[in-house]
Amino acid sequence: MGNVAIVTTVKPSIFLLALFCFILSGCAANNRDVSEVANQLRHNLPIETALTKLEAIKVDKRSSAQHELNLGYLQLVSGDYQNAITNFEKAKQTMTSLQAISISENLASATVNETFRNYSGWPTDQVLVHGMMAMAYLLNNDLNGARVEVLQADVQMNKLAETDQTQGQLAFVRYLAGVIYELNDEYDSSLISYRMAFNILTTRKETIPAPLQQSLIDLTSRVGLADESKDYQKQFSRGLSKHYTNKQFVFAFDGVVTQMQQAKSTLWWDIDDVYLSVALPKFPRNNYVEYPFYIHSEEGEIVTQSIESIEKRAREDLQARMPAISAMALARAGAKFQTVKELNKKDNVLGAFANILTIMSEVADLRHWSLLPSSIQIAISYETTATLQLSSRYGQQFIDAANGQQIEQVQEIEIYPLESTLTNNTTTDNSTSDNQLSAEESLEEAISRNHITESMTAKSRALHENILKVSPTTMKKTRTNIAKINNSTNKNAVVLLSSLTNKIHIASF
Amino acid sequence: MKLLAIILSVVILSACSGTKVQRIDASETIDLSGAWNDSDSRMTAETMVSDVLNRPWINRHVSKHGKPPTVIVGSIKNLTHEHINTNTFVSDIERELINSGMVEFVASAKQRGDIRDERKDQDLNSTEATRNAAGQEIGADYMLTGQINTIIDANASTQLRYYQVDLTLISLADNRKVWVGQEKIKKLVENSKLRY
Repeated sequence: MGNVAIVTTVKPSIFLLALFCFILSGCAANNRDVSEVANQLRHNLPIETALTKLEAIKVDKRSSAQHELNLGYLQLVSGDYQNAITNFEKAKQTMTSLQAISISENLASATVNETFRNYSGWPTDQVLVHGMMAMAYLLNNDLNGARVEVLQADVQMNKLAETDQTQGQLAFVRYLAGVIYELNDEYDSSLISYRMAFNILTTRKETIPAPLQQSLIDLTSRVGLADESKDYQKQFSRGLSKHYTNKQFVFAFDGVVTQMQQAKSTLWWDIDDVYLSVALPKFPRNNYVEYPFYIHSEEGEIVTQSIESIEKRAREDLQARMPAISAMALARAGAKFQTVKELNKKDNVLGAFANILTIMSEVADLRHWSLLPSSIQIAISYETTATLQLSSRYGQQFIDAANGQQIEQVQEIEIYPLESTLTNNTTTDNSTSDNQLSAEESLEEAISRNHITESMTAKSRALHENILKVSPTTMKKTRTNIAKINNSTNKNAVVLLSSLTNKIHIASF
Repeated sequence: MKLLAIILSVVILSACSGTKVQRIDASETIDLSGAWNDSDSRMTAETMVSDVLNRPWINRHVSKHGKPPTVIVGSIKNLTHEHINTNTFVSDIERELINSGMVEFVASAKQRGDIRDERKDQDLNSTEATRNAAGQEIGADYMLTGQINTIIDANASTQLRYYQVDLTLISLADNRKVWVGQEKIKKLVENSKLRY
């Protein structure tokens, strides 16, 4: 009778634990799916497929902000600016609404695990969402919208700086703000933003990218601060640029940020016959190798330079949170241990079952903005009416700035078939000669299979047959010398490149 | 375990709230986030139009030309921290100015384009008696332009939001600024430090 009474008392508690495990399994599964997409993107998954996969994931309400951030980013780099803005806006509002401390989430994370928290974004996410939105507005030719976003980013960065001078302080967003103000002819505000970007990089002891150096020199001179301009010229060993206008501000997103992993330790506590388990998030070693983009202009070759390492920022964010996460994990382990110990005293079998459930429920929260680029790079090209060529590993393209985002390929003339093939075969961060060769083989196959048809003109047919005859080496050269942007509009332009797609996005102002 | 039961009960109960719709008066002021809203737009337009109509430039114009001034609303730039749809603000100003009866109003550049297209269409398709001829438009005497600015001071849970709306009425004949108006709004927004 005594045993029956114990079982009757304990059963609801066990049921609750089991239910908790069931609920949280959904959250972990969501994150696994997103990480899988991220890893596949790093290995040449076409962005359209990635978007479809991401949209198909059933997202837990607690992770809605993370999902919208990821979706928005993919939409941005694939050129769907309006939907990117919509998703970023939703994520931003969710993250803002979650800034207050939640009693229930803290209780749940102290007793079950951290995935019970709503995803409210890391400091980098909370600032970068404005940066990405500003990019989307810019490429959508909405300079005022972009300006609003960088103003909001400024408020957010100032708020974050109150508690920690380094958290969420992004040189990329400050630089982007400078570009937006410059495009809006607000040179004072532009200079202030460039100075802030400079200060962030100096504090971090990172290299000041050449475009930022040049902007500081030019803007100080332009607003009449001749002495400061000379100081910068001396410090950076470079002079004033020839033009103030007809600039192409190039932004390049390279790679996909490393995915977090779970570090779980389980140990047998033989004094009380209980398994103790602690799961914590961690980033694996940073193996990212930066891959620059090349620009060939009349003034020579310009290489994009990193202004923001998202790999580093993500790790810093986690590092800053680790004391709180670890303390909560220890408190949770204590609570679970006490529960199992109490149950063990009443009934060994139920105690063991509860112990299994507590181990199962111990899951690290691995949610972060997982599809972000590994690095953000910048360059400036000063052109007048000449043609600007951009080189990267993504295909050969020709963009007429007068037509906005009109994209077509040059070099082998009818190269748009190559573009579609290259989308699927762009090299990875750790590109090897093997997969380059494989890409070339696929390229040849695609051309022969899809593009030499009966309906082709004799000229086109001859051209394609010539392409098929070239050696793999020639093909490689063809692929690595890439795009031309004909900025014949005498306007400033913003250009976005991404390693996830062979499209080049441009907006003139 | 009791604690777990309580947490779970609260989690489940929190999901039970349904959608509720309540119709309210369009002129009622409701502040939710502290951002620029319909009430700000309406009240600012009313105040500024009331100011512009009670300044001496109107009487000077009437005494000089013998007719009420004709006004057009130009661009009102959004320089704030928010994505404000300035069209609603422009509409509010237009409505107040037209309804005052003290000034005449002409269509905006975009509206004029549409009307000219319609007039061309009438030339081809309408009867002689109903056709409206080209070249009969009234040119505006003054253009109203402006901008909305913000200054935001914020910490973790409190925000001071300061809005400043500047409007300028410029004579199209000689670029004279005949009226400059300014309206300020200050809001203190306090967010809870705790949530359920």
